[in-house]
Amino acid sequence: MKLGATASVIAHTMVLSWGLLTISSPRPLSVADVEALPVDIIPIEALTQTIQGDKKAPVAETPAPKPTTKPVVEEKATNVGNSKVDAKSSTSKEIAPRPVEAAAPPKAQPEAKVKPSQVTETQPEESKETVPVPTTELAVDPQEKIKVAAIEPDEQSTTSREAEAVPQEEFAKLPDLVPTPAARPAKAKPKVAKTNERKEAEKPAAKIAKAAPKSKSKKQADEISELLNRQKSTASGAKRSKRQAALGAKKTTGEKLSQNEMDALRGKIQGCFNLTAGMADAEELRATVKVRLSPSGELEGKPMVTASGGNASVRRAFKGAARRAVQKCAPYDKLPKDKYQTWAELVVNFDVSDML
Amino acid sequence: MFGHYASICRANIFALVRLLTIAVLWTGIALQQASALVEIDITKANVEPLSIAIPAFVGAGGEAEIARKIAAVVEADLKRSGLFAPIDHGAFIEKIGNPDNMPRFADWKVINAQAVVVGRVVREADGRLRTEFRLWDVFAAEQLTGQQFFTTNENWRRVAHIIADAIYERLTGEKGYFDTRIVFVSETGGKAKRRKRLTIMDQDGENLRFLTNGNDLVLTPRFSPSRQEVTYMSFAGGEPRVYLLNIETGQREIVGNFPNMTFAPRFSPDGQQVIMSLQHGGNANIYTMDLRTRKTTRLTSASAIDTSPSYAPDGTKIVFESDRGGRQQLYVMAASGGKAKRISFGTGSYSTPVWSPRGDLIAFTKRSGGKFLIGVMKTDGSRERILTEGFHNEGPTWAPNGRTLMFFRETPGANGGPNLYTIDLTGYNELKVKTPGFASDPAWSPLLE
Repeated sequence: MKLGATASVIAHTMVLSWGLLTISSPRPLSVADVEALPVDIIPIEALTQTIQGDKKAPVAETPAPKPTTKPVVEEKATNVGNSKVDAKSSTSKEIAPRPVEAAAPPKAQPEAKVKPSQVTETQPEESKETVPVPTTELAVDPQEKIKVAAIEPDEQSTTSREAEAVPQEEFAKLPDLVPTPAARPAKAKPKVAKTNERKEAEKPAAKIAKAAPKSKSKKQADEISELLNRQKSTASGAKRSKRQAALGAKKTTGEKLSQNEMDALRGKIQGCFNLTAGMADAEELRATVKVRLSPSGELEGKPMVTASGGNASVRRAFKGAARRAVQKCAPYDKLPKDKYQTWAELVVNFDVSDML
Repeated sequence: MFGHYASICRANIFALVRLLTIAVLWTGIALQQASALVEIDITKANVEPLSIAIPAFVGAGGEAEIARKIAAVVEADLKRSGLFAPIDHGAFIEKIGNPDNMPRFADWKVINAQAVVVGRVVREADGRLRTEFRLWDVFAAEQLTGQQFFTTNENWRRVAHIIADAIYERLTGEKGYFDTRIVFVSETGGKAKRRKRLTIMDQDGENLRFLTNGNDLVLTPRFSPSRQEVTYMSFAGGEPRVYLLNIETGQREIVGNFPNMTFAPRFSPDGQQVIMSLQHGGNANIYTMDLRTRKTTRLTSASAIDTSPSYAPDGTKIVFESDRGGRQQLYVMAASGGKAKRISFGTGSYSTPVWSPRGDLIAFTKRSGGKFLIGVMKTDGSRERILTEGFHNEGPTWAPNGRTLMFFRETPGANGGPNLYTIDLTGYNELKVKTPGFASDPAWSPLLE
């Protein structure tokens, strides 16, 4: 009995636990997860603004990429400092391919060394100063390189001090790589190992600059750096939507009057436009009235009117009618104040060729 | 981005950077400009009449009454044109004291006047009247035109018409037509025995006088477009003849002496020729006659009735009616003759075509569905528009600016008779012309010299 009960209990337990494990959780109804779609109702004008981009915006999408560091480079780096080794090894082939196209041409000119730091390595004979180049191992991604190229000029004079200062810290951190040659004034090497931040990219350039003949005046360099700074700032200058600028369609307009606002304005002026019905030559008559508006919608100054078509007196009358329409309708106080920028100037074209 | 610049020498980089910066700055400015501008196209207009304020002219001394009357005639002329809406004097805020001063435009804006006319009448030492006026644009706050006239007392109405013409022309761009006269056939007496006299009056119905005594039947008077002369048909002596009458001198002469009936005479634009129909048996053909040499030229030779010829204002073409196609239709032909081109194709028959002095339209009488209609079409026959219709409308004549038509409308019944009406070429503003009795066959004069 006891045994039977026990067996029964065990058996039941087993069955139940089996059932519990297998049967208990029925397969979930596989319904695809539908995410709630947030819907914003926005005027078309806002939409066009949001999708507008700025050609000059920094390339925001390209992620700060992991540097395409090659372990191979690391190995080379150990030899970099050693001019003898460098000289012996016909390095150029291995290293040159990595850097970008830019590398090729500069060889001819001594100055060219500055730009593609990589190249210099391949030509140790040219000058001793070029040797520090090792930094090139960075094999920075294209983006980085861009910066180097662009910044170079201002580095020449302004950052030379900085260039000297920084390396010292680096030395402290990574002494092992440094020692090799005696002649080196500053080691770029350590930087390489550490990171490939922009700064570092600049530093080597600076070093080179230091070595390079100081042909350019500081003033000029300042000028250039200023220009560069200014240029950068335009990308996020005033008159932008609040969204971060992004590459996209060419930005041609800022805020615009909505279609409704335009229609209202058109209707208003049309109502003020008093014209003689059945005018001779009405098909050919055109007039354009240009006028500046104050923020309160009043006319600022006299409207400028041009007209064409018809004979002189009809044209003059048409011109008068067009001007009167714009003047009679003033003030334009129903225009949205916050868009004043967009309607500060009003141009009205009159063409009634379809009317008759 | 700058990667490909890397190979360029430094100097070039500077230049590039500079260029780029400039370019960026300029695009910035361009963007700014492009966005700070709203451009609107207006393709429809309000065809309401233009509101104008014409306060009484200022009369120095004892001329207040005539000054008031002149302003009133100007106002009435402009109002009748249908293109102006004079504002009621009761609404005026500013009282014009000195017409040489600028009006207070704000006061006129309030009552929605788009233009203000101020003027004054002064008696000169030699007894003549000096009338001057200024037309002001209220919204632009500037004078559009200003003139002065010297004339005798009796001519005050003409001065008023001339002023109205000046205002009309300055504001519409078209010549006015107020300083003109109408010749028509005045009809008095019962329907059985009507007395028809050639009559002349100002276009507003004033200064009426009779040109013929009413013993003979007169028909189809037509004004010379260049002189104060009228040609008309008369049955004096029992036979229809074309006469020429000088209005100023009252001198009358027969235009040629033809063996057959002549009818529907009309002047050429230079006034040197008369174009008309001459009957030959059952046919009628179109002839011109030089008024100086009296030489006639035959223009058509169809075996049909060609009649009612009318010159284009440039004198190069004529339009006439002909039944050569079976029904009366309108045809256009070179003024020297040749091949005629049919231009009317609507249902019904067309007659009495008149080329607009503006040159762009031809007015006609159309008979369709038992009704007489007055309409206009382009000179190639397109865009036919009917302006008015009724039991009997006929004989359209153009105002010299080609903007308004006058015609006569006959009412049916024993007591019915013809009356003169004007209508705008857009088909609006139909008005009855004030005449002493019944009137028909109007002819509008050119602007007086």
